[in-house]
Amino acid sequence: MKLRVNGEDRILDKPLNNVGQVLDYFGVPWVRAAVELNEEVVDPGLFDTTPVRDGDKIEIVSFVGGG
Amino acid sequence: MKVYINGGQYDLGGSPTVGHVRQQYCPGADVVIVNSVPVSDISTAVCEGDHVCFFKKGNLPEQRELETLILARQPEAITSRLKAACVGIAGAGGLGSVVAENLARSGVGKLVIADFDVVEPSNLNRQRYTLAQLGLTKVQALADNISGFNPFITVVPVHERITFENSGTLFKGCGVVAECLDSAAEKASIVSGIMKHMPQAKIVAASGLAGIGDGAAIVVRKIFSRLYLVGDSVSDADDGAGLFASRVGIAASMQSHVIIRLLAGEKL
Repeated sequence: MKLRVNGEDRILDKPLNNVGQVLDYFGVPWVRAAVELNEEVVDPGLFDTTPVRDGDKIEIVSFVGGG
Repeated sequence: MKVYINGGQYDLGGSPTVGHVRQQYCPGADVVIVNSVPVSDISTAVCEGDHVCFFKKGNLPEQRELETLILARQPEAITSRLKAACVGIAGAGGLGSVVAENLARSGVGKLVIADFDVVEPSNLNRQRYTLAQLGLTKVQALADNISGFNPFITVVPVHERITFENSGTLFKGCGVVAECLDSAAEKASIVSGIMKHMPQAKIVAASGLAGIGDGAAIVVRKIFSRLYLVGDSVSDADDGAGLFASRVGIAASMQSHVIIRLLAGEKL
């Protein structure tokens, strides 16, 4: 499966169905993630029900603590 | 020709110099600033549209001139844009208290500052509060501090916990929102909330500022279409690296600087 992740084309070695699975694939804890899928923000409560398709553009920010 | 002297508009005839104008409007002034630049040569010509400030050190300035004098070192074209702006600040801790101070000193017209917490001792190593403010809500303490150096801006203190759901309502009307929270989960949630509920707003968030690592590793990256992320992206306060005024302050100053550039109309 092919996705454009944070501006880079990535070939994933297995098919992924939703945003939550993409986060797991890249090892990003859901609770720290802000995600844009095809330039639309994804509600953090809907990561596991928001489908991803071949060729989608996904931007992921994984936050670390401190302020 | 029209010139601005300590904020007032005047019609001057002839070819006046700084010295002539000073003699007429503020004799004895030892601080002379023309279009944001300190001037020592009083034979410098004053030109149409110039913004000239005079001040005699040790004097108490007239209230009506004070706002102009506070901002005398900033070019008027930028100051007028900042004055027209409204900025949201999500969190009034190590990042938010510094971002708010920088924006208020620069004359950003309206700041909506939201935070649910009160000032406690472990804040004081990096957050801009004093011992006398222990126990006060941070938003009130910050509003009080700002009124002590720039009473001419509007501060809206919101003593409330910011959530994904309420973020759009709390910061309604803000063209830019600074994410200044402490916990990674809250950062992710509030950035998502603002992205979703404020489709026009730009967001300047911070991630990766803990510890005593290289200050120059803190950079600005544009992610998404309208999110600017300040930090090194990896230094996590949860790893025990600690939080220091100097490094948190670099990130906060960088956040406020991005905001000032955006408000000034720079394309970032």
